[in-house]
Amino acid sequence: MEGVKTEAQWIVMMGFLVSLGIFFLAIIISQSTLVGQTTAEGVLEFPKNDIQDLKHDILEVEYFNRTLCTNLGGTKCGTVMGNISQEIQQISLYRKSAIASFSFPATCSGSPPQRDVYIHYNNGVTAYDEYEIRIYC
Amino acid sequence: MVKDGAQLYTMEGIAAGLIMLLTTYLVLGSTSVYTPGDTHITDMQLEQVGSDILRVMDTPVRLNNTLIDNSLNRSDLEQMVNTTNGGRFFSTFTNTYLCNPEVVANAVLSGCGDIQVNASVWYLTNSGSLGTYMVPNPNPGLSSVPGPGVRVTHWIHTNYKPGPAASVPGDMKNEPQELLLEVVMWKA
Repeated sequence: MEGVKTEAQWIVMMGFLVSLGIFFLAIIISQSTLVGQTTAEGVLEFPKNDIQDLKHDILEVEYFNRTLCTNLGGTKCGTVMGNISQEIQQISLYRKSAIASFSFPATCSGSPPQRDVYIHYNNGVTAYDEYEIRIYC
Repeated sequence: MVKDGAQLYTMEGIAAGLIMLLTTYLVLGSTSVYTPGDTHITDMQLEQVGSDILRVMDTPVRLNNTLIDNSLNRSDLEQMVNTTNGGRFFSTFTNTYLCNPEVVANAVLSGCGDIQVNASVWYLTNSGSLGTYMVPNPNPGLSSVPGPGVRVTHWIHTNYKPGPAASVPGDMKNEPQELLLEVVMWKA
């Protein structure tokens, strides 16, 4: 082995280190794609926007019920509230494949005056119930 | 006479070749290719953006409790649906929000010109059956085959006074009611 030059060992070692570095970077990149994919699938699967939207609308209905609806008169108000309840159930079922319903007491009671809104939602994958959305009215 | 002085060089060469092959194999094996079928990420962004836009559009510009039934209390979205003002709906949805660089992340904006939007309103008719009408689109989507798309929906509570505009279907109830606005967004 005499006469063999060993100066190139550094080059070999550096090449090895660089290749290791590239390897780990590639692992990180591939993981990030995987994480984005599964996160996106999770977000698409969970009906977060549907639930928030339904809740927003039902709270608007509750507000409507104790403001404009009472101005319409008792009979008319009762009809309209019945129709609204039916609209939410029917349209949810037909267009969103989800069972959705809500209820709250007809009048506010207690001190300060209040009532609890109940929301039910089930789209076959996610079931969501909210029992005590306390509204002070 | 065979010289054996170069044997170490040969071994080093083989070792280096093996390392390079191994590295190439690992690098190629650890990257994943983003195929057109994996549209979940862009779908999720599109759905979230569309849902947020509808929510913003359904926020009243001002609130005045003494004027509960006043048209000033109605949100943009409610007014547009009450009057089936499709032109204003689509220009607000697309120009003001979806394609506005100050609102939307660049990731979504990059393909904004390709995104087509369509909208329909669902309601319960006088007789209790399901009714629908398309929100008139002044710039209907390209006639090409639709690409992957998402559907976003938004419930609209409308007090509907003084009554449905002449442009909405005649079988709509003339009273406060809930409507479901469906917006389909797809890449042309």
